[in-house]
Amino acid sequence: MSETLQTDRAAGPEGRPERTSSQDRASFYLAGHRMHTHLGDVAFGLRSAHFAPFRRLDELRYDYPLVLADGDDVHGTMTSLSGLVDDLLARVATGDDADRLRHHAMLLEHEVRVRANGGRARLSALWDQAVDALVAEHGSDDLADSLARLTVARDVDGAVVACTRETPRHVVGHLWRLVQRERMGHLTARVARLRGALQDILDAEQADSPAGLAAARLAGSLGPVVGAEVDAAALSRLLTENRPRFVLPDSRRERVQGLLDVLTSQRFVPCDLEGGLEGTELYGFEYTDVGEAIAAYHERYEPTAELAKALVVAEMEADGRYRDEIHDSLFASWSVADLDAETLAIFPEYLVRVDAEQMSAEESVALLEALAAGIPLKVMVQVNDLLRGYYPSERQAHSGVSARMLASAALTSGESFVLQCASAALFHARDRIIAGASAPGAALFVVYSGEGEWLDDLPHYLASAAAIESRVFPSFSYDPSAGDTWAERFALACNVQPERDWPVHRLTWSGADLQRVTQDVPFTAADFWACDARLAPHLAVAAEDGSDGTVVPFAEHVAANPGAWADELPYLLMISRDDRLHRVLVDRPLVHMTQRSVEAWRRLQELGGIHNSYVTRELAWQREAFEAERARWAASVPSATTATTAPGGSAATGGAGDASVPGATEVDDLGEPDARDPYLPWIETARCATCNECTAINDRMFTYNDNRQAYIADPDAGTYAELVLAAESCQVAIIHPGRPRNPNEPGLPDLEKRAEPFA
Amino acid sequence: MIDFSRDGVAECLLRLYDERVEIEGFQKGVPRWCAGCGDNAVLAALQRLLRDEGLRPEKTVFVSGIGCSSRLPHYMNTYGFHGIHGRALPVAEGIRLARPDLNVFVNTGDGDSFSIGAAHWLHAIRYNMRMVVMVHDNQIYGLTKKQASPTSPRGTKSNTTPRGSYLEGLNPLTVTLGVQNVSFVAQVADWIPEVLYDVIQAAFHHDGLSFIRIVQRCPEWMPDNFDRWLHDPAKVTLLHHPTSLSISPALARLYPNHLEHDPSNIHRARELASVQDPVPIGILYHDPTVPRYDEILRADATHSGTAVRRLLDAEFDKFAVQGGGTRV
Ligand SMILES: Cc1ncc(C[n+]2csc(CCOP(=O)(O)OP(=O)(O)O)c2C)c(N)n1
Ligand code: SF4
Ligand code: SF4
Ligand SMILES: [Mg+2]
Repeated sequence: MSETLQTDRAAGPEGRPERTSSQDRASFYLAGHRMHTHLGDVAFGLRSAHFAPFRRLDELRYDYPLVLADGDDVHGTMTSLSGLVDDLLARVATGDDADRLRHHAMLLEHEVRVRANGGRARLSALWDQAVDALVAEHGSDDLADSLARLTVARDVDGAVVACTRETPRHVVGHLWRLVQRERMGHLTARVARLRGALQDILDAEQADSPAGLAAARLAGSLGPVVGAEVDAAALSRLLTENRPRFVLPDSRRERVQGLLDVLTSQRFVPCDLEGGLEGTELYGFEYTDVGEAIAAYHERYEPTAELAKALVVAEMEADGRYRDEIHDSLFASWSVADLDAETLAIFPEYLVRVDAEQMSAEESVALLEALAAGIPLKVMVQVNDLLRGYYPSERQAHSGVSARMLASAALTSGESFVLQCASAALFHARDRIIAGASAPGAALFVVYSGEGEWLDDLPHYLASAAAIESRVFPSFSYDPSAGDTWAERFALACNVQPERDWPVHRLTWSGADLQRVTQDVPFTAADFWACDARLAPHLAVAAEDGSDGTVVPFAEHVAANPGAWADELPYLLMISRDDRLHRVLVDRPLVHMTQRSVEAWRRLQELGGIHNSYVTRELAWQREAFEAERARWAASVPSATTATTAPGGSAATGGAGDASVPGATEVDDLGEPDARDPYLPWIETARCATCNECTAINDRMFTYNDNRQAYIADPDAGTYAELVLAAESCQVAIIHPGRPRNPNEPGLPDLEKRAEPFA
Repeated sequence: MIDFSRDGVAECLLRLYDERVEIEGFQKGVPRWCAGCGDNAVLAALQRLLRDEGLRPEKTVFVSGIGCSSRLPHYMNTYGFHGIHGRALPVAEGIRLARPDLNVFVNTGDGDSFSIGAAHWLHAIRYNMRMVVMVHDNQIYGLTKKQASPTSPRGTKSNTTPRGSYLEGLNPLTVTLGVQNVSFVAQVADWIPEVLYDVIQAAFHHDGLSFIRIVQRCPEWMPDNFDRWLHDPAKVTLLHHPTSLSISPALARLYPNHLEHDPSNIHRARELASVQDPVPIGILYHDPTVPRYDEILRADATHSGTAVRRLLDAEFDKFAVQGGGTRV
């Protein structure tokens, strides 16, 4: 871009621009008034100089278009076209012709990207068109060869999604649907399994009944070959007569039948064909209206509770662990109030996709209440107009919670998953969208689409990226399942240079003297707002000749925060369609809007642990305390030294390090007492092989412990002869008989001799 | 991601009324093994495991063939299948497939699994279905009163080899370690209960077929056979490794030979398996990543009786129309 000297200023009588009076400037600054037409109007299409490098977006490799790959893998489904091509090259471009392949792949990627702008299409279709077009245009064999190889290697197909107004609804819907499919798959399988198990219970009784064991039936099940050799009538008599029959208690049969009815008639997930009620219509779970979704949820609350209860009872029935005497009363008192989030987590959840501009005030309040109540709604509110509810005159027209504040408002309940982001960041936010869709309970996704005719031809991608960067619509997420603390739950992801008020980028342009000028320029909220044609009255193109008095860079002006008119006008750097650079003056209402958004941003920073005021205060205290301590210590060093060398020591050192308790006898894990009494019999219990030898000799003397290993429970419960015999019998030789306890036992000398090897 | 498969309430309710089963609760009847028989130690270790792991009796099955060792299911108060000679493994595999919810244990003898059941042994290793297989290797046919088994050491005098057996005994560990898809191989001795328990526990947690050779004393028919190991601790090498078992200090004092062995190393495992003196005790080989046939085969659909009948009917219908000549 180049600096321009041209402005659309009105010329004075001499044909030279008139100097703007201080009054004129003050009234522009304070109220946006142009008393005289000295300040230049801003032409449509002027946009922040930060956008200059992105004029031709299609030439760049960036996240869009996205590819939503076919298949069920929710974590792998979303890739960017560039990512996909890079993957492909990593696999294919490995030989000598790698550079050629890479070059041709870039041509192909560009071609697909341009075609993707036409709306949603299949990757394979766009790809083939692009290949045909390139081959037709260049006609080189090398190119045809490269493209053919890339085409063969591409193993992904799916929907290609450009960044448009529809993107947030497509992407969130796609990811939600995959999560929902998995969730419903589990429930479907569980219902089918339980139906099978319950049916088996009824069938078992039937098979064992007289009807089930009737001769004809038996003959049928034996088949013609075996049946010819078996007398089915005799077999039937054998099986039915004089034989206890398996009969289900009536209560159980009724319960099982009742459960089967509930599982079959439920409308949450499909039943397998047979036995499923004809014409049972499944519930829908996708809505475009918050109120309708909430109403549907409440309407289905009873059936949900009924099915949840049936699943629990059926599970117990199938396991054969339902006991009437215990469980009947428990389940009789089961009510819908017992539906906790964990139970609800197995049910399909509701997706609502709605435009913020379509939501009434009542609806946004109802939404916040539903979120706080943990209703399993996944709500995507798409914001198309950020000015709504922001700009004073716009605010009056709209009295609900402004879409821009919806996510922040939802944070306060602390219960639901919240994600705020914009189309440009959807790719990076994919894991958080999946987390929100999978987490049990409520989730809110507020996504700015970058839509708006007031944005001139600014692409959705750039507008939405700019909304995040300028902190007008910062991206953040709050995930209650990530931990217990804010630090774990809250993340300020996707924001550039989050430690700053605004991200700073280096801009380079050629000045009036054709010299290169380089400057670090923050991308402020005003830079974003200045693209909005509706705010043009708050802007004026400055004169290059300095006739507008003191002008200061916008960020500096906001930082200095002059209370009222300080005889300076803030300016932004903007470019016109011909890439010429202009200084554009900004009035006070726009300064105010910027200040408000930066304050909101700082509150988010604090939540995200950046410049946290509590931490800063605590740090200051700690530093103060540390300094004071150090000063005290420095003053007391000489006396401290004498104190430690004083004779006698202090009471605190006595006994430390001596952990043994006198008098305790330690027993190691083989059961051997440390200070063993040679007279006492004992067993190395941990080595006992549970062979029953000793217990067979005397089971009052030798007993098993909790692990079924022998120990001597009572040495006096038998004779020394038994102890010696056990020691000899013990296969592992772990019984030590000790010395005789009864000096009058007969045969002691011989026994003591036999006991010697086991001492 | 949340686990959608089972909800918390059912689990809580089930747990609420699940009594803890003590060791005595797993005991059934009085073992008819000879006093002093090493099979007792295996029974005790298994009952301890069931208690410690909180396994429900009705969710556990012990399968065996024929032999003294194969009587174990009788003494276990769980499901049991005392089958036919040599066929414990195919029965266990059937159970594994039909009832994936059961914990499957197999107790078999050296005769049962390495003579008549040898074919099943090799294929079961290769199929790697989840189960704990314990071979009580007393190196003899115990139940039938002393005939040489494939693992009997050369020179064993028995009713079938009155002049002493002529051949070297088979080494079941090296054979097992040579089979494709082997995933867990260990050796224990019935008289070292600590390692016996630890190994069975590790085997229970292994995600595949775990093969444990239990060196088991038969005081009745082989009274002196195990003495050299039993009474000389230096004839045992305890294997340990951070990824497998650790040895308690007391055991370490008792058995002086310790060897750090990484059970993921199959070559080293094969080397160790071929050493008979001192006998390596512990986990020889462990690879949790080997695919399980029961996992591969597990169908998505549930096979209730009705569902199977329905499918069969559908097949028969086709047959009736297309196969019978009554084409319309
Ligand atoms: C088909 C068949 N063949 C032979 C037998 C006889 N038989 C019973 S037990 C047994 C050997 C068991 O040896 P082992 O498996 O080592 O068990 P142990 O008794 O040693 O524990 C034999 C051959 C049989 N029961 N069935
Ligand atoms: S004889 Fe020895 S191994 Fe057998 S139970 Fe008694 S102490 Fe244990
Ligand atoms: S014969 Fe041997 S294996 Fe069988 S019970 Fe007796 S000691 Fe045990
Ligand atoms: Mg045997």
